[in-house]
Amino acid sequence: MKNDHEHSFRRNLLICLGTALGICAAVELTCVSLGVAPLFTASPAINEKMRFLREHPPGHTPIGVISGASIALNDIDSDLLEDDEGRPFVNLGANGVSVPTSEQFYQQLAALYPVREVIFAASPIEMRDAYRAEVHVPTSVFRRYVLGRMTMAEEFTYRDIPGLISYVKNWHEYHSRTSGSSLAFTKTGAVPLEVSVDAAGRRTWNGEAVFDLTTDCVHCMDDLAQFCRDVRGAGLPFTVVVGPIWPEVTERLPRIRAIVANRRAQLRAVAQQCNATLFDITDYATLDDPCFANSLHLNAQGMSAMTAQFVRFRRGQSIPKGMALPCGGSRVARESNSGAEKAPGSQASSE
Amino acid sequence: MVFASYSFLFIFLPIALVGYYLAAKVGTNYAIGWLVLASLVFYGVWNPAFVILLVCSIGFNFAVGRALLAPERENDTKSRHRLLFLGVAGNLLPLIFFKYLGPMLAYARSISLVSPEFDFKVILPLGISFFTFTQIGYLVECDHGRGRDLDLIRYAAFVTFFPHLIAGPIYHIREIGPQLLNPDSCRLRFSNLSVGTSFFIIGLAKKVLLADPLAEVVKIGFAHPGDFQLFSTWLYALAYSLQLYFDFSGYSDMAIGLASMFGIRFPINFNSPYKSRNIIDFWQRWHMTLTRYLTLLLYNPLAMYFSRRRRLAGLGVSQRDYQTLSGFGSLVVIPLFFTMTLCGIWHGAGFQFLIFGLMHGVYLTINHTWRTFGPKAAGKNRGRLAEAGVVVSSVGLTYLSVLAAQVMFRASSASAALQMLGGMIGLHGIDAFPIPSTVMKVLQHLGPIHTFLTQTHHILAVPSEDSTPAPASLALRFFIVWALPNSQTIMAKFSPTLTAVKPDTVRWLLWQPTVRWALALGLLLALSLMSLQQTKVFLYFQF
Repeated sequence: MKNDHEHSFRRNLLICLGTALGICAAVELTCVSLGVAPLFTASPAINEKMRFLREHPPGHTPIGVISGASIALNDIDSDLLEDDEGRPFVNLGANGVSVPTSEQFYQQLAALYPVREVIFAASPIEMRDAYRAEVHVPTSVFRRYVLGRMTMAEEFTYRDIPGLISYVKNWHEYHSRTSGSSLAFTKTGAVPLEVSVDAAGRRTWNGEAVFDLTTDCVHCMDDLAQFCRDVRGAGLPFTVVVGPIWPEVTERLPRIRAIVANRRAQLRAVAQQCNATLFDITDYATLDDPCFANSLHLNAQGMSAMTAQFVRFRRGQSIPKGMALPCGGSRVARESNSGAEKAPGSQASSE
Repeated sequence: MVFASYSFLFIFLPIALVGYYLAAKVGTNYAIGWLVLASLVFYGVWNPAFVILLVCSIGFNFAVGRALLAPERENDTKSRHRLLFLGVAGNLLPLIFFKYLGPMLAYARSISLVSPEFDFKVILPLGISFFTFTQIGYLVECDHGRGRDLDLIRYAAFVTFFPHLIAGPIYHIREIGPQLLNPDSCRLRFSNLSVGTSFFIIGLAKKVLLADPLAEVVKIGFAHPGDFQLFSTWLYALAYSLQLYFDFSGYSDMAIGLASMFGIRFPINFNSPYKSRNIIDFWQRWHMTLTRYLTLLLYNPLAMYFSRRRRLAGLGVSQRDYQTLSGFGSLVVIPLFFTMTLCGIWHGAGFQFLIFGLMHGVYLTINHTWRTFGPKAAGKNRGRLAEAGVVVSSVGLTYLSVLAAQVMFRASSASAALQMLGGMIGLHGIDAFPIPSTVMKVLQHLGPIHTFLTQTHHILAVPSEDSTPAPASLALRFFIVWALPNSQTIMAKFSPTLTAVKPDTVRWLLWQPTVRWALALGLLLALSLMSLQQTKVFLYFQF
């Protein structure tokens, strides 16, 4: 009788552990067969960007790295830059990442591929000390993942249930473009947000969200200065690109206006101290309301308009000051061929 | 090492278990020795240097304990008490040094009492409060003549046994000592392994699936306590309250489960505290072994001291005397405040912890006052509906009181906590009540009602952001807290704890070694294993 009892406990234990390990193995095998990438951070954007790097590895030619948070994706059309200059660019921008993570991400890439310059997309408002749920990816893990050298067991340790759900959701939104803010990477990893006024959250538009963001940057300028020094120390050019803020926000909210002015001055000082190049679009032009996806981000047309000026700046051409860049024309032509997107004015060709 | 980690689950635990049962085949002493070794490795993974501190502390306390139990001191109370005092002081000094000296000096610097250059940084050894308290308890028991049979290796196992080493439960020598002496504890039994694994899985799921997902949003809320308005602040406070609940409950379950795998039974440490109907009840359910410890070693001696003083002054200590103002004050209120103040300070050196303790002191005083002086006959003739209303309101009131104190407990400072509490009563304004977008889509079909609700700004659709706690996910957790039986009840038929638990729930929720339960817990384990990546350390590790 006692042995029967022990037998049922042993059977229970074995079935329980066997079920757990069986499910884990089945999930991992399914992920591997479907090509579901492991998720390294709680930031879907960073995970997607790492996946992009694995699928689009830069070659041996030195690359220009665009770095920063979502501003890097929405203010700088790296496809346009690449086509204009005939040199490769990689856009490492990812939504909401902090300045230290931007640098870490760049350093990890630079350890694998030759880099010729860094362009940091800065916003006077959306620069963060820390991502809201940041988990750093160890360099060895980054390296093994990007080079496709991870084992199944290693990949399994970077899977989680919320991550898999998030993956499905993001895959659906990023690639089927069903969301107002859907993202689809271009050939260099840039991705213009398309948020219509209707689709944008009320908080985003009335400036409340902007106000929240201003509290997240206590030492981000120091971090940026360090980033710049590190890049300059490696003998590479560093450019700080400062994008615009939706005028209505700064007009309506004096406190935000003051913060923006202060941050622009700080960015200028940082660039000067580390001998970096500064391109502040507001020194040259204003952008029409239709150029903005929301208070902080440009849409595809806005991005294209701003990048066109940045291209002229990089060529050393004179840019007339005080012009207004219009965006109200026809909607951006979109092609979802292989998840690629062309901005107007871009000569980018899909891969 | 964290229980909820791949290295613990797939390397440490299997090796520790296999080694333990193999060593037991050679002899019980070898098994206990292996357990001590494994526990020191478990502790040393975090910081090997502090293993020396732990070993020294064990050596010191064992020596003092032996001296207390020496036959020549059996009738020499004064000598024993002197020795006990020395032993307790010897335990408290490192605790004060590591836990309080740094914060005290920081405070002294902030008010210019010491030079700003005088900086003193010290790493708090993991679990120091727990192993110190355990050993002080041992010395007190030695003073009462217990623990005589325990040799050094078993005493070391008593202190270091890894399922309790970092965050409790704080057990007594009379509970664990006999089990360590019993060779039967080391016998391999699948019942112990199966029950222990099941208990562990439930705890792991609580920690990984219910507590940890809230950690990041809680961090945001408490990092900017003044930035949020009414509803958002409430969501952050509730999220923390649930994170703490599932974190500690999960840890306690895992500790019981692990101990059971090694054939050891632990006392219950957590018993659905949010179901408490009053604060006295709450403290008998939350961190139960700490409450028991503080009652035995602080509250009772102090209450006895005041009883003696009253007797010497010619005053009574009977039940009737408790109902006088002076009796109630000296026999209940003063010992209570003293105990709760120390309980608060035990959790940390900041003012917020002191206030946390004082808040609970006030709550408990009010509760005792009501019990002592309140109407005695109230509620005897209540109907079922009225009774249910009383239960709901008393549980709700108790929870809200606890929540307010928890805000103080979590905040980075007392002023940050006050800002948070200010937000909870609307001092920072009233924001729209967040409603998930999917619900709003349904509400849109309600036409004028929807217009009314949105135009009067009572509700607002929110996109699902990972920076705000989702009301639905909090509601799900409250359902688990309030509507489902706890782990002890689920496992009641095969309880691996020292306390007998009534199987007080529907039959299908009572664990049995069946295939159905094996599959269900296997699924839960798989989900937990696949969510370990974002696991955070246990909140009680910091104490």
